[in-house]
Amino acid sequence: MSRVELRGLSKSFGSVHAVKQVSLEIPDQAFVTLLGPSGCGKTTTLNLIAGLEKVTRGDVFLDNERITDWAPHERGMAMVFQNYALYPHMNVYGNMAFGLKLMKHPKAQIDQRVRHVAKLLELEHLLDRRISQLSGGQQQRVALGRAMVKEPKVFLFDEPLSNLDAALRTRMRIEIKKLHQQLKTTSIFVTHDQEEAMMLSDYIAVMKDGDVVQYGTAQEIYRQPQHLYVATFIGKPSMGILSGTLRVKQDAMIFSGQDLQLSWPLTGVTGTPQELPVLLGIRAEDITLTTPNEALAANAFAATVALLEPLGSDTYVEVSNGSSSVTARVEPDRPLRVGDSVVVTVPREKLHLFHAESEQRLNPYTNPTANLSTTETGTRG
Amino acid sequence: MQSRRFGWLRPTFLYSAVLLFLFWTLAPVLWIAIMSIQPEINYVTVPPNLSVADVSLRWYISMLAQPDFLNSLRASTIVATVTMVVCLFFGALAAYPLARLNIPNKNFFLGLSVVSRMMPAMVLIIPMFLLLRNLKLLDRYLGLVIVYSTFLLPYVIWMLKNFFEQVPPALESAARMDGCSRLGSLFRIMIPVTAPGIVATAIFAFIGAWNEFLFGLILSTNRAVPVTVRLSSLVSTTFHSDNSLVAAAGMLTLIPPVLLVFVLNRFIIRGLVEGVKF
Amino acid sequence: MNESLSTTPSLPSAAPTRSPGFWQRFHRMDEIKFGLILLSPTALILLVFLGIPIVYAIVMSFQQIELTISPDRKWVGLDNYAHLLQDRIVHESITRTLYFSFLTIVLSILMALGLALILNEPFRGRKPVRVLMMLPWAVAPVVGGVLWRYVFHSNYGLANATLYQLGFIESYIVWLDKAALAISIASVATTWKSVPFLTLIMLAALQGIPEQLYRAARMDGAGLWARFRYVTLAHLRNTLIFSIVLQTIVSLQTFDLIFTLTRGGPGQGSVVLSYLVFINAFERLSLGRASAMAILLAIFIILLGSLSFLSTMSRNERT
Repeated sequence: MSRVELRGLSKSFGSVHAVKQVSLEIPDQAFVTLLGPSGCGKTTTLNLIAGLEKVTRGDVFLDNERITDWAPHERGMAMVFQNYALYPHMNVYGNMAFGLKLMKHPKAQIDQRVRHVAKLLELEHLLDRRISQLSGGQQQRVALGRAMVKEPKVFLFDEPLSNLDAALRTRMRIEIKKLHQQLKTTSIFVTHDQEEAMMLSDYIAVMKDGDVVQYGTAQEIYRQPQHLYVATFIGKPSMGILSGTLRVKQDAMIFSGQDLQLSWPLTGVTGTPQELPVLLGIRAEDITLTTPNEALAANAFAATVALLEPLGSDTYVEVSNGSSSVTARVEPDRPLRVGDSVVVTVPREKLHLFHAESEQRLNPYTNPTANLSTTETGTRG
Repeated sequence: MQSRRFGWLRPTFLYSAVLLFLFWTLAPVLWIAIMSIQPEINYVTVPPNLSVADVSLRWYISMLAQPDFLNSLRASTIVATVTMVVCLFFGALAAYPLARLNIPNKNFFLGLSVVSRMMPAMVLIIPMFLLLRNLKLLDRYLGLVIVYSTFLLPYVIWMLKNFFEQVPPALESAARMDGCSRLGSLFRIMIPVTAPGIVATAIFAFIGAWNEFLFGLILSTNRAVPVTVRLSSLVSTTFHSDNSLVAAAGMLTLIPPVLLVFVLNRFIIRGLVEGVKF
Repeated sequence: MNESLSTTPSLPSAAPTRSPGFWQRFHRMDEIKFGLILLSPTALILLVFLGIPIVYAIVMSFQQIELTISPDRKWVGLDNYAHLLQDRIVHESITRTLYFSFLTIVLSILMALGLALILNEPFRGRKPVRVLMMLPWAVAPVVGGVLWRYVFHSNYGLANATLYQLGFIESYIVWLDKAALAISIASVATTWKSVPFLTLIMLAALQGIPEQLYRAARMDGAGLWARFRYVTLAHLRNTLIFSIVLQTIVSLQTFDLIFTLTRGGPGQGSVVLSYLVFINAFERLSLGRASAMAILLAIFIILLGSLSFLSTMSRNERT
């Protein structure tokens, strides 16, 4: 069992609070990603888990054992670094065997393990090469191998793919995913690439300025972002955001944005209508573009095509009504041109609402300012 | 040859400039090299009358046969070598924390090391003399080693610190994950990885110690006289000894450092440049 | 495929162990403690053998110590310093040193810059030239003095022989018996010794200039001189400042070379400041005065060095 738990983990460098009270539970065999832009504290958190940095406050637990004060090599973890951090004065074999040698494993066993892992990673023919003779992808595999031979309880990855070119990166992602499926070792992965996080992880912790903003499964993070930050960080292209006010009435919900108004029917709302400044979010794949013919539906607004991004598999269309713009995803052979008039439909089930000031998620079916509940039918967003 | 930034750099201009410069650089040494293998008569005449037939190594042999000079050669070799080792050892110990670790008042120590590099020898020579006299280390190898090391350590620390700083921190993190202690990572990772820089620093220290003069002049009289001091006593404004002997002595004094620089040239160039960076 | 990696079940893998003990504590030692432990031996050595002598020298500079007269030391406060500032000999030496420094700086930096520019271009034989040009750096300053003494020797110097052979002179010149010439030759010798290092650092700086800047400048219509001024020299600013300061410090500290070249002669004609300290300390045995002079030199050097250090630091931060 290798369950990792972080309780109130904090790290400050002088007056800079890099990690603030992070509490996470990483289940056994899970692949968890710490996701965020540079400076959000994800690498520092990883270093705290690894023992490479001393915590300012808080604890790290491994299988209910408090390892906060343990040295890095005592924790049963192995790390794969962004710049591989391979020992340049040793060959591939030496790099992979180093940790085991320090742990005083018998030579025979070291040899057996190193060769076994080398075979798994297709490195057998490179074992006596010097690091400088290897390509980037090969070096990354050696770094992976160095971690694997130690048969750790937890794998730690510090942006290991950031230095690779796009094609290699995609390939290595698949390798890592397959490896995880095979070895089933608990893994904690740090990256700023949300696509990578979505593809690899069971759980994602989205971080900002030292805090974990949301922690959940990849699907939860994508479908139900609890914070504007998470909503716009995850998903490519970025979620379209419209600012305006929301009014919840007895039977409808009305959004008044810049030069547009959208409304959706509600049932069973009780209480007095309230008005809130909100940010409405809608993902590109959830928007429908239609040619304008009949009257405008309540949940749609008129716009013109401003920009086309044909990617081959899809086309992304940026539409604007002069003051607001969103991006929609359409079929690649849809005949649209810049300047065309379109109708942008925003379905109720797919929209996200965030309070304009707190940036927290609002449930569209509850009047947020009056404590009441609704009974309603239909799918929840 | 393609002309790059300054298209006017015609080959002839460039090559003649290079040749002129090479002549200027090598001529002094070549001259006393010639002097050291020719009888004085040949080069005292106006103009000089050098002859290949008269080439002989007897002045070298004669110099090496003089016990004083030979002792000085031995003294310089031993003192320079030991100084080099001492400087590397204590220098690395100090350079590592300054490069990597988070110690309080680090900037203070760094500033100190910068300042101590600028200390002129003249300030130290008298107190050093008195200090060594009290420790009964005058005219002893150990005394010279201590003095030379003290003088060279700030430079060595600075150079090593610059080399250590170039090693990516992730490398040491990886070593710690593998089970290296901090000290272990210094010896098993840092030092092997910075080996070229360490070689450069070692050469620098050796040459610095070998070429040292003032301290040797004042602090030694008999047993531990460095070869540089011996040479200078041969060159006297009042008494003209056999100049070919002096030339031979001069060559013997300059050959070890020059040889080191020529052979280990690659390290030196990198080392000097890296070692000076602010 | 779900095979386990190790087929021998005996040894634990990297499972967390918990064994206290000396080495474990050493492993987990505070970074700060470890750093200080490492630093202390060297710091101690430097404190004892560098720090104490410096303090001692400072103390001596406030005392009157004339060992030719008596072994007593009398506390005289700033008298030594005051005397220095008024001493005519000191003034003359300062003038000489200024001339010496100026000449050395100009000659060595111009030569080093030219050589660096040349070495920056690829040409056949570049590598051996780079190696050969290091020679003066390896030669001891003392030996350098001997070398140039023989180059400019009145009876069998290379300079005289060459000039005579080339027909420029009819009889051998005595070079080192005129003070101005003697100092100038000392300057040439010091330049000779300094050029390798200066060339190296300038070359390194030149190689750090991105090629694209020159291309951009040419697109903007910059001519040869303009490119040199706005791209090359601009990037060399820090290195040039460093070189000037370094050469000044070198000039202030030059002793060995002059000792063998001229012994301070003719007369006192090539007694630069360092040499004057030597004379006071070891010929006149005026230890107090000598220390004061040395301290003043040290202060001046440290000020210069710090200014240049700060100037380049701030420049680095701004770029």
